[in-house]
Amino acid sequence: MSLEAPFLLRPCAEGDLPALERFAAASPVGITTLPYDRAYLTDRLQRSLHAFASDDASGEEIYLFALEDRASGQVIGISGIAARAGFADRFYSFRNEFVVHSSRPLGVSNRIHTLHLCHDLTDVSLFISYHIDRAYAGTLAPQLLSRARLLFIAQHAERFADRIAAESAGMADDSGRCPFWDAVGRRFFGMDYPTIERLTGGRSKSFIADLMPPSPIYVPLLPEEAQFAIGQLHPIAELPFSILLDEGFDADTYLDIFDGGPTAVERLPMLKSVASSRRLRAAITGDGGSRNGWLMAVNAKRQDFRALAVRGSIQGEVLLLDRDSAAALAVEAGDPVRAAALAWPA
Amino acid sequence: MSTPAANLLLRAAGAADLPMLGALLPPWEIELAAFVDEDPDDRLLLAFDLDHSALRPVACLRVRRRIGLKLPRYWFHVGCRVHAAPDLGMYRLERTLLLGNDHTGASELCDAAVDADYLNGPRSESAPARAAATPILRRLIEEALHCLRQVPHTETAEGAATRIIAALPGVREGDGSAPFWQGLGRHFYDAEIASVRARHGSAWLTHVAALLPRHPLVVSILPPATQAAIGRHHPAAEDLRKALSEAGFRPGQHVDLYDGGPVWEV
Repeated sequence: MSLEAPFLLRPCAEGDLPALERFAAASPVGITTLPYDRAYLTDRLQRSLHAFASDDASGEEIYLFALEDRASGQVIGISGIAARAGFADRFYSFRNEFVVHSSRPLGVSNRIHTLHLCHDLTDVSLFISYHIDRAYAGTLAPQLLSRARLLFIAQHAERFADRIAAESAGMADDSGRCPFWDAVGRRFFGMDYPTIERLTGGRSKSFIADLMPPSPIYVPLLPEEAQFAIGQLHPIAELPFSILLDEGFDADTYLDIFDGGPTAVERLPMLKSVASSRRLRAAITGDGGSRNGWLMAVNAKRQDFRALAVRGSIQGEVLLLDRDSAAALAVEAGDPVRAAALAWPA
Repeated sequence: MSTPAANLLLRAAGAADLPMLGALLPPWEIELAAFVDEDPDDRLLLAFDLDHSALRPVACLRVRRRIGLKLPRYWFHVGCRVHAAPDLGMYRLERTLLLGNDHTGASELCDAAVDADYLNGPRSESAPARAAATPILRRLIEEALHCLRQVPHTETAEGAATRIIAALPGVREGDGSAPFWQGLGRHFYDAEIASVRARHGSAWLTHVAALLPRHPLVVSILPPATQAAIGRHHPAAEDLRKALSEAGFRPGQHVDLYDGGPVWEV
């Protein structure tokens, strides 16, 4: 097997259900991690298969991708995109705002951090379901798994919003205890998060959020532990979050309303992989072209979408691929492709 | 309960009374009292027990005819909000606090005080029983209401002209700190309050209000001791509470910014 293209991303297929279950089971107990069961995952997978296959797009679609280690053929990661956050409903976030309270007679001016419940991110496209086998953390695999979604969106822009958001799991301990929820959500509902999840029976989070007070939360009034948790990551989220930051996402404006984790957001054309990507034509060389840096290359297909981490080279308007890589990317000479540099975050 | 002092004299304070107020009011309030003659809308009523002393007042009560018209006055309005999801069996009633100037234009009775030495010590040989504060306060309150009702309001421009309010002191810890302030205001203005009071007089709360949250606060996010202090009066204010109640005052929907003490209305 060629080392020119070690990792391949493709749409999830029927046979990927066991892999989805495996990643769902391995994800830590947390606030934003739903308790997956087989029926739920089957439904997600069916929705994804339909989304990739259908020529019509309403915005309700979710797209799930599987990442393969080509040497072993194993699925080593899962990621996804929801075409419209909060489709047919509202998508709630907290927005960080700062107000300055000042009193001239007292000679005091205080910058006060407040959290405003908002629907700003309703209808943006949302990165979802990112899970990577930890053994691959130091490789290009997690990079391709996250960033290739951006090139898929760029290739099929009519199906997505031009703003992309990504939630990251907020701070919680191994038992799922979450200081932000304890200080905010629990006060309003009088129960822990798993309980309210059960009560609401898998309805959208916005349903729960409707029960939250609409007035802003004054951060200085929260316990210190909860203040500290604002915008902090669950350890599991550090790697994918670092990729988002490297792409140029803004992670300072929005928070998850339940665990206080950062919700990153940015306009698609501003993101590094999209901004630096080029539309090219595939050309096939014999083995051993010039060894340039690592590229992320995607084809222009939807149902047969492929993304490859590859050591190709770009010459003019042409992406040179060896035969094996071209076959993996499901392209023939002359087919349209898009490619961007793929590198570890600086 | 002892009978009210038979020989009680009520009158408005004048400049000559100022040196005699030390047992009743803190120094900065006495300084303020020096200006009573200049503001016809603000007078300090004094009560003298003529069996006790004709010079030294045993109680006082300040009357303000129209408040908040020159310098804004602030209170927290205690409201409520219901969050319900009937099909989930969820129903939560949240208390809220909203900063506002709701009593602007009302009349106010404040600075009620009774000399502790007078209450505790022997009054005179002819009246050996301990004096009770409530009847004396009651007399002062009635006199104040009489004053306010005698002179009808000429301006009806803004505010609750016919409302009369009186704030009851809120609960304090042993060290004098207010649990209401500790869990709320302190996070927005962490200063030594006694010195701020001394420097700014009764305007201090107006200045502090500029630093407090403008949006409604959900009470359940506050510490338990702070929540418990909302609308609760200090045990030492029980006499005043009784006197206000007898005079027809009832608890309203507002509390003090600093100690969360209730504002009563009539």
